[in-house]
Amino acid sequence: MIELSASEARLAGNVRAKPRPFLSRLMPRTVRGTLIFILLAMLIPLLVGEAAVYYARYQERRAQELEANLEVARGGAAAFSTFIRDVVNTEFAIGQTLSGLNQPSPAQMNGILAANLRSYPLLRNLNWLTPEGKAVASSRADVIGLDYADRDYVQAVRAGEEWAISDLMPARVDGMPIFTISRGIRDGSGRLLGILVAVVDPDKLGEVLTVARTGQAAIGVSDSTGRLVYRYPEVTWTPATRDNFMDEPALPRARALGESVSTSLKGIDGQIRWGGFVRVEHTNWVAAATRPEVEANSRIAGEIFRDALAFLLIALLGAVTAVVVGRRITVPIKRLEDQAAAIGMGRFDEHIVVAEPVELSNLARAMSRMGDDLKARQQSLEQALAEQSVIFASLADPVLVFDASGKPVRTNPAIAAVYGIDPVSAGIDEFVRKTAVRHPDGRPLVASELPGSRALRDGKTVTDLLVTTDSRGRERVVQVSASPLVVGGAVVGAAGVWHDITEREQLLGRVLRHAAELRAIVEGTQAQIALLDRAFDFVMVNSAYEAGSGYRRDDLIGRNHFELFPNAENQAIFERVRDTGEPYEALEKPFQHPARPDLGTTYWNWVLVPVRDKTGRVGEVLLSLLDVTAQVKARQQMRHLKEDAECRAAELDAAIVSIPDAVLIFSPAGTVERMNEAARALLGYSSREAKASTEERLVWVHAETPDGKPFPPERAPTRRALGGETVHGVDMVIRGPEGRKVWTSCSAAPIRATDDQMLGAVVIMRDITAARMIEAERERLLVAERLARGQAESAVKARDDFISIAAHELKTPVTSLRGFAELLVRQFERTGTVDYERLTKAMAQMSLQSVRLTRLTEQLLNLTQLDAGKLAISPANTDLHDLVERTVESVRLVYPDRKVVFEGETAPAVWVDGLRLEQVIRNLLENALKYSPADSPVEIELGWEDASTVRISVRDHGNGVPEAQREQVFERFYQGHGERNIGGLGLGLYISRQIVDLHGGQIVCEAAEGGGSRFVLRLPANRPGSTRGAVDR
Amino acid sequence: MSNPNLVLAVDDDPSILELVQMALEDDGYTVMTAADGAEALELLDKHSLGLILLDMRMSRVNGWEFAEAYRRRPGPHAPIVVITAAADAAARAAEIGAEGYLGKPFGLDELSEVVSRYLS
Repeated sequence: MIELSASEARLAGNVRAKPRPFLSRLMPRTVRGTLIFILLAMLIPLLVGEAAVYYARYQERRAQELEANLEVARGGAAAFSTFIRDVVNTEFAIGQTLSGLNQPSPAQMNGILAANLRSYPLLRNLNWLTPEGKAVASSRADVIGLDYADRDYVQAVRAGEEWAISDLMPARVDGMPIFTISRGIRDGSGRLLGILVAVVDPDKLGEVLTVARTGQAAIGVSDSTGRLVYRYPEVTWTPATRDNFMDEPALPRARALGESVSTSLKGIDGQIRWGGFVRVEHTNWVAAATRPEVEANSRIAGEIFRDALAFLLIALLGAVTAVVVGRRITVPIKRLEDQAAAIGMGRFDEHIVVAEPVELSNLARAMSRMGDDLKARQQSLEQALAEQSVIFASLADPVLVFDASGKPVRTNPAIAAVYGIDPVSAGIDEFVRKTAVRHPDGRPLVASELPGSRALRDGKTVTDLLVTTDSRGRERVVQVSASPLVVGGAVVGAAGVWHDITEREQLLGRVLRHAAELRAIVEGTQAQIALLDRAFDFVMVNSAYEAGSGYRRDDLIGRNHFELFPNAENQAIFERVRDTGEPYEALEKPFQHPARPDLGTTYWNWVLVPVRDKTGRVGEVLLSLLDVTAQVKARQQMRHLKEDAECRAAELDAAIVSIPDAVLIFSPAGTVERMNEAARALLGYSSREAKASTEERLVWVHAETPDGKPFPPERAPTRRALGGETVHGVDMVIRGPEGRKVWTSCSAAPIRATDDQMLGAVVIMRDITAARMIEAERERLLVAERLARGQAESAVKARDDFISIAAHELKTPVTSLRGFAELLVRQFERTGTVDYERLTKAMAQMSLQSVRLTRLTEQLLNLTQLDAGKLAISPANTDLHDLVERTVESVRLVYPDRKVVFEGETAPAVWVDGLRLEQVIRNLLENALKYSPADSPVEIELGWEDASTVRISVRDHGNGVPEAQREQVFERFYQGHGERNIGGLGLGLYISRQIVDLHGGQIVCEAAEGGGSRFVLRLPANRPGSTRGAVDR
Repeated sequence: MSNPNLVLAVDDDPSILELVQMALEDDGYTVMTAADGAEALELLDKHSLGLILLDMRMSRVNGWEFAEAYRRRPGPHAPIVVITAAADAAARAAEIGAEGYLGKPFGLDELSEVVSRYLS
């Protein structure tokens, strides 16, 4: 079992994260975050407390501000109320005057009113109205006479009110904004006497209401509709500024309750204002005091800011501290993290030094140590891996590593070296097939049965003995041991070692065989072998000993040798060997068996060998006895035989010397051992040649077969006799010492010993040259005679054939001639006339046949002349061109349907017999026409072969003449074998050649290119010095 | 059905054939000619003959070969008259089992006489 990395598995188990508790989950996961978290945890409650304090202070301050405004408004309302009361009282006084008993005149009234007005600068004018509302007197003249009955304040007074204040309205005389304070003047009975009206200029109310205020704080008065009558600080009046507060809910609230406050007032200047509102007593008018919220707040905020600034500084200091402290921890942690990463990546040398904090400094040192340890461990691991790699690669035994699926993933080079196949690339099935993996009993194996596959499956080591075939086709016996590869308890693969034990097996086999052989030898040897202990008791004997001793083996074992075979001399020898340790050996030691006198003297080869035990002491002796009686006796007999043989050899020498034939005796190796004088004379052998081989000797004597070929060495009599064959009368021609050719007849026989052993060969060569020459002469004569007789016979046969042919050839035209003549005669006799057509046809045939007859006759005559040696030529200067042309023309007449093409150079006059040459040319042309198809042309050419030779060639497009017959066609009586029997005597070419010969020229037959024959005629152009008159026959 | 008046002349000499044809046609026979034995054997396939006049020396299928082939054929056989230039014409005729012979050179009367002997 191979445990690779159990620690890895443990590691994997620890990585699993536990669920974090709730609180911890809220906590930040970094140091810096934690520090900030703690800081915030301390600061936030402080901040909240502080904020609550500030809020309370703010609320208090606001209430104070509102109260202050309400105070101011109360003051304003009181002042305004006082002002009204003052005006009403004054009006009563004036009204009493004007309506008294002594009623003044209107001018007096106007004067009274104007005088009173001067003490009230706020009033614009004072008017005196009739109870009906008509102005009868006024401080202003333009008012008098106007009717005010429609005014609310008039109607209110008329309705019974003691006095009335109007809302803001435009003055009737000039439209300026005014309001009035009116007083009804009644008598004692309550009867209305008149109404006094004080017209107030609102812009002058500041004289009544003036209150000094800081900043942008304002005071103001509004009438019963909410319209602003007066405001300080002053503003520019527009309808919008007048009506600014008409929808303000604080006003009705003040009218109803007497007082109200608001923090959401929208001021004329657009700012949100805080304000207090107070109702003016006995009226629906409201006095207001306001301050912009911003101004109010800024005062509060200023205070709060001053207080908060100190707090913020503290908080900031805390944050900075947290960051600084955080950095002092996180920076070293980051460096430690980098180092851990470096270690993870295998860079163990990157040590860091962390000065502080002490814990991290310790941690850094621990990590550095860990890096060093890891480096050392990795180095030793790498070294181990490298060693294993080298061992793996250099293992002589093939190693095969499988992955978990049973697929081969790794091998060492030995596997390819032994089997010539890589199972990783070829696949396991191909590997099993290619290496023919099988069980020792020959059953084939499949991949799943391999020890590696089984180890993978069973998870335990499997060892098996298998037989494979290596890349060179040799059988290899392998002991395969395969183990599973276990990592973290799981089988991840298997590795098998294929230990080649072929040689061990073979060695074991040899040893066993040798042991068996040894036993067989000991058992099977003729030597009698016995093993005896120190007391010479038998320990072991072989069969031969058992047989020779006369005892059974079981009777011998354990018995004492000298008890059974007492012999004092031998016992002394045995004891010497035992005591000295020197082996004893004796050859052909004579022995008289004490119990068997009938055997006589026997001879024994003795060997007595001490057998030492482990301590070196002679523990046993091995006795080997070999009965050599037969050999000793045979040798004695051989000595006699040798003497006898030497005697015989001398006799043989004497005998062969006296034989006239050459006698040679050869050794089995083929060298000459002995030869007689005749052989020496015939062959001229010296001692050097005597030692040569058969081949060399055959060359030396130029040995030939009777038909003159080099004599084949394998047929040489010597060789055959040495091969065991007896040879008679082989003819061999040799060249004797003087270079003379000698015919010999060779006989040879093997010399064998009685046991058929080849001792050599004897060869006898007889000189038969004389007899041979006589016989050769006789044969020559016989052949000559046979030839002559054959020639004579064939001449006779040829003559007979010729006569037969000639008769046929001659009789046919005669028949034709005669027949056509009779045909004409018969017709004339029968009809008294001959028709013209028949006549011309018959005459043409008769003419043709007579030409044929003439030709035949001419040929026969030529033949006769030739035979008689009388064919003569009469040469003359002849124009060859003319002659050929003429001949061609005459041939065309006979063969009008055929095409004869003539191409010729103009030739000078040549010294020839024109008639004979014409005969030759016509014969060539007619032959060409006869032996070629009717639609093929015949071509004749005339030209110069060279400066002295004229050449005439006739070419046809027939079947041509076979090469073997090209000379025969010129023989007499030769008949061409064409498609049709052309007839003729077979003399044409024969006569032609004779004629050409007479001219000193030549005629030959050739094969024409593209088929057909060409007959070429060559003639000397110059007149020869002497012209032979006749052919020598 | 043999045509008693149909004569086949076989000779490789055109002049002889022409002569025989003219002479026998004058005598009222119908004459076919063949230049050699092969040609003659082809004609035998198509016509029934009264008489065959056969030259012996021919190149392609000579008289001997023709006669042998003709005798091997089934059916009735027309008589053969051998025409030959050989001195022993009777012996030649006997060689091939011919009914008659005519030695070259022959006269037209001899021809007429021989033919009429076999064609009555």
